[in-house]
Amino acid sequence: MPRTTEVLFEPGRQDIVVTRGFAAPPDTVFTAMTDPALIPRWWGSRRFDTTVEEMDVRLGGSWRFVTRHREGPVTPYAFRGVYHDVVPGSLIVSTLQFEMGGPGHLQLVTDTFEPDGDGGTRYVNVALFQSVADRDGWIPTGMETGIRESHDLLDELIGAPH
Amino acid sequence: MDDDGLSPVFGALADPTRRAILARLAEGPAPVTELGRPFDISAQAVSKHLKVLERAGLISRTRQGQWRPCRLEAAPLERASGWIEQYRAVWEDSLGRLEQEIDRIQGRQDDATHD
Repeated sequence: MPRTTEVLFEPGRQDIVVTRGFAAPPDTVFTAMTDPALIPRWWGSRRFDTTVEEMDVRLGGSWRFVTRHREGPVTPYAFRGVYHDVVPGSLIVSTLQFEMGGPGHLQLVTDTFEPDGDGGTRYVNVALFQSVADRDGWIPTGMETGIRESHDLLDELIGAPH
Repeated sequence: MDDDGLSPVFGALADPTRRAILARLAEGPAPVTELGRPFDISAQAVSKHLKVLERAGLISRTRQGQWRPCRLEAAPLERASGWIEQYRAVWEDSLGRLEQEIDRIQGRQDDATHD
């Protein structure tokens, strides 16, 4: 299992699938990921400081994280949701919502932790959006990338059949 | 949510016929008649697909000349692929930091076993 992060983003679908391998067993990865004390150390973008206001990892429990840009605007951005299925060491089903995003932008998130057969973990995060347009608009862009060959870009985006 | 114009790009890419048309255009400009040839669809349907691609900014058509060849425009593809790369980079970064925490936890567990 590669320890790099893979993102599956297929045109026309409502989901984004993130996969990553960890050298530690599923129980350890699950425990680390659900520890409120560790969230500020890894969750979200490095450019933001994250505070955990609520994190009750069990059926019907809520979570709310507030992030503040380290150098940018002081306006805090809050994310929240509710935990649904929680199976320690193997599964978390929860919702995720950007508070300022308004209605129509709820994500259903499924985290699975599977043994990779080699003592490690295969972690998969599936974020299911309410619509294709909502998924496609999730991240504001405005960044520029270097000029690359159209062929490479097509392969990357659509697995172009030549 | 859609001030970056990426939704029409992803929408255009969602159709297999349009993806095949783009794949053909990645090899070089081509006239409309040639683009429609591999598919069992009407000229009208081909023209509809080309309009979707054109609206998304993925292709352009020359206005002069008898053949009016279609050409692939790379800029929207670059923006779309940059979007995905940015998403991946944020995850890569945060899961990498999580891994450091896991290593630390495991290190402590190992120390405890050795004591």
